[in-house]
Amino acid sequence: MQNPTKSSSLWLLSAASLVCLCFALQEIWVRHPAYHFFPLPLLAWFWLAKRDGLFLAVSLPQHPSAFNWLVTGHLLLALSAFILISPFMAGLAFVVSSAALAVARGKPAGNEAPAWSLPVLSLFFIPPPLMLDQHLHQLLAGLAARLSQGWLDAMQVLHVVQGTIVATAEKRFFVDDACSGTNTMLVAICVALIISSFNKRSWLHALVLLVTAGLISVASNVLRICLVIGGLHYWRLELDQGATHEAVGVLFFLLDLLLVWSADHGWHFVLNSSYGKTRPDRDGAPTTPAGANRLLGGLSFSVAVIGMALLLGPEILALTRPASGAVAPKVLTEEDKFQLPGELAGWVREGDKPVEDSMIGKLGVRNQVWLYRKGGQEAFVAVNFPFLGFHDTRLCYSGQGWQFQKQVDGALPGDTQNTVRFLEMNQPTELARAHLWLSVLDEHGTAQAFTSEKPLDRLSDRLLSRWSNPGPVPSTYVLQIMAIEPASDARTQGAMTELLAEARNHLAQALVNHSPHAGKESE
Amino acid sequence: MTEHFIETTRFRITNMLDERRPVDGLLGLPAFFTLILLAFMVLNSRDDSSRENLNRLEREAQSQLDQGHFAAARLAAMRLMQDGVQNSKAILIEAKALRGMGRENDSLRLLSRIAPIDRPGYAPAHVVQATILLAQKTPNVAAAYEHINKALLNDPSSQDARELAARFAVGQRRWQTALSHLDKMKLEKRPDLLLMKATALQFSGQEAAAIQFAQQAETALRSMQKAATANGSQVRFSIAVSLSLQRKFDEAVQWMLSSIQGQPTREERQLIGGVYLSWSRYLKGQPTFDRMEVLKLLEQGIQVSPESQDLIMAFLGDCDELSSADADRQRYVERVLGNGGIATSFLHYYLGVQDWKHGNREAAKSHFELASSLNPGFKVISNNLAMAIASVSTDRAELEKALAIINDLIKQEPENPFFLDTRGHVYAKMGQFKEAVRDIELSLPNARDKSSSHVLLADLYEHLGMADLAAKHRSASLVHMAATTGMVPDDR
Repeated sequence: MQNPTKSSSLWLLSAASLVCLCFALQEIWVRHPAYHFFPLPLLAWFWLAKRDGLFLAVSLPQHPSAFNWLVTGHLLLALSAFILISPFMAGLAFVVSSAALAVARGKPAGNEAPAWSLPVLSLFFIPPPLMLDQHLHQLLAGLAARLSQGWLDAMQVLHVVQGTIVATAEKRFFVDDACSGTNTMLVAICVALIISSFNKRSWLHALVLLVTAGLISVASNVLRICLVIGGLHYWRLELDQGATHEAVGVLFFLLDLLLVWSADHGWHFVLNSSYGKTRPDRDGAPTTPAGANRLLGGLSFSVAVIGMALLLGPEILALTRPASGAVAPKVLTEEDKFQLPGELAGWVREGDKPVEDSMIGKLGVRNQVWLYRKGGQEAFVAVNFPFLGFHDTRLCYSGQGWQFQKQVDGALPGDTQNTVRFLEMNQPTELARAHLWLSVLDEHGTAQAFTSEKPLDRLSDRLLSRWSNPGPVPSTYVLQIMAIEPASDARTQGAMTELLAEARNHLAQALVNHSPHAGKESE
Repeated sequence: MTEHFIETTRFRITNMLDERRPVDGLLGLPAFFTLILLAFMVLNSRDDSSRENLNRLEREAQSQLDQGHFAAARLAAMRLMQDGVQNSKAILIEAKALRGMGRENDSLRLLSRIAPIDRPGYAPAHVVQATILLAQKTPNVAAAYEHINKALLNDPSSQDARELAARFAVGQRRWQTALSHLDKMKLEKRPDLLLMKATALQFSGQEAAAIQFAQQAETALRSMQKAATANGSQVRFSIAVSLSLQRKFDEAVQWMLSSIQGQPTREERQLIGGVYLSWSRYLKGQPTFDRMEVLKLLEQGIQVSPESQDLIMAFLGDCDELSSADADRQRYVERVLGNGGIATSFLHYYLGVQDWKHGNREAAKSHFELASSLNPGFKVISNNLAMAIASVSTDRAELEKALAIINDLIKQEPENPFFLDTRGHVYAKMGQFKEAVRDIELSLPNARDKSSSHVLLADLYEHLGMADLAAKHRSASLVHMAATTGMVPDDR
């Protein structure tokens, strides 16, 4: 039976780790669908930790000095994560705490998972900082599109690759996250890691298997892209959307897993290395003084309390405010249509229907684009919706091969914050130069401020706005104005700004009229 | 030493294999093959920028363009640019494909990269831009002209640029300029250009040379006609035009009539009508000619092509110059134009003009109204209707309608002196004297009846209290005093 003192000490020590884990997982949950597999490594982590008795090892660490240092480092990281509201640091703190657990256990016995298992599994709980994950998605999508080029040539499908788009005569295929392998690659790597842990492979085997899993995922996704494009080209099969698309995705994912399992056997044949074949003698393990454990436990608990206060404080504060947002606004969904008027600030819309094939980026689920003219000027106006939370449109453009030369955040008359983002960009493949104006509105038609690109400003924004303006992540609507080969004189820029202001007013009005909550307010 | 090493290695390998399960190796094969596949993918994805590949892509792009597969042609051109260095030919093909896809603006944008309007660039790109600009709903003639010039500056030997420059000049009736371009071109295999040259020569007064080139065109066209092609009608029409240019009008008409299968199409009827019109003009250009013969030719033309407005107007013009009695003339016109259709509108137009001449302006207005309702787009009829309303009507609503009609015409031809004169009269009737003075002053230098214009201006200045100017115009009217005694609508 477990000693109650040891048990309470264990809970105290793990308090900060658990809060860190929850913080990191909450961020991962909202970050991207590609991370929604995190219950898998989490389950494996707890299973291994419980099976191999790692929690018990905390009370009698094999390497007390290293254990104490790691716990101290973990607490410092956790404290920093809570103060700076950094889920990345929280994830890192959890990795360090996993390392502390591994150190506490010491060399594993013959039937136990390798020592690296828990720290490496916990890497899946780190939300990547500085949008690195977004860049990774773009990189993988671009890589998959690029690699498919040779195969499509061999299949004699005339095509051209523009960033993450594979354009054929029939259709433009956007290699999105699912096709690029972002979703499946991480899962495949995670499965490779779990297999290595449960099969007690060496760290070298695990490393090689991880790399192999990644490569297998890339290869299978390239084949998937070729199958989807070739299916349409040769057999008129629309495998790029709907249930068939999902089915193809699942089939390729299963193939991925089979190949990872195959690779594990293959590498085992080549490397023939298993971890820990002899049971170490733990009888002579040194013990940590009970005082040190109590101190660390107390510190951990304090850090956890601070963390809870800082993380949950704004939410609790929000509950004490008048319930103005009690009625959830009815948002425009992808089934809704939005119509811009025939004339906006002297600009005249061409035709009644949205433009089908334009250079303006295809964002969001619904992408409606209209062409407006004024004198000799031309501008595309696009409304994209819905997005959950603030959407960085630049990624969509860079994914389509656009390169940015200049970015300026500004405001329209009447705005108190920088609600307009202006971008100068070019597209080398299309030999096009363009100016793009962006504005993001929430479901109440309120223009959202663009966060500063400077790290310090972003940090202060994040720290303060949580307390002043907490709330659920809103649905957002992106308004874009794009001018291809624009003149740079003040008159043209002025006309564009007027068009943006008028279009934004119109969109805001449409959102207000669409929202029953906002409607009640205006009565 | 070596023997020992080999022995040790052999022992180690044997030992290693003994420790392994062959089933692991077998199960690992699929993953191994997948890695090999990926390696191939990476090797295959490298751009092949060899000359051979670029040539192949270029051929494919051109072939797709020729077949009208514009989306595929564009992709091949884009690949060509992606795989090789920036290639003007590829850009040109892509631009042509974009044009084929109906994306003229994108095409122009692309071409402007290699052929900007402000400096000489890739000549074929200038030519394509000029072609697009001229083919727009509202042609940008000035920009097209600039591009043609830049193309010729960059490559004076460019046949495409020369051809476009010649066509452009012909469109503006600058015959000498057209000839200067055509003289620098090889025309042997181009009957269309031979015909163009023959036309330019004829309008430049070089009759003999025009006939010679028309003959050459006819020979080339007849040899083309032997090979049955999809554009057979075009060749047939061009042969008729070449015969007409050789003054073989009768032969041209017979050629057309003999080659028509079934009922003649509108295009065929118009072409025959055009031959009759050219024939009548040719006769009128002779030192002595029989006007009745001219009228007979025009009548024949109207019978074949009753919707040809140029023919009818020429017919009415010649009828006007007949020396016979008014009643006889009117009967003749009624006989020729009384067969219904668009010709009826011209009959009313003619009757309106006759009534106007005889001072019966109310009746003239009624005829113009009928003519206008039957033929609403015809400018001369609309102008005369507006003038007749201004002359007889005092109803504000009717005057507003006249103003709307004439404003519409001036919108199309802002400097037309006849239209400006009519609007001046409408404004005068509406009491808007300042506006009336502005229009009449503008039309004065080209006015047909300057005396009447001066008289009207004198009256208008008097209304405006500008006695000096009124007096000045009264004096001027005396200077220009001619036979005109009343306002006659234009019958141009």
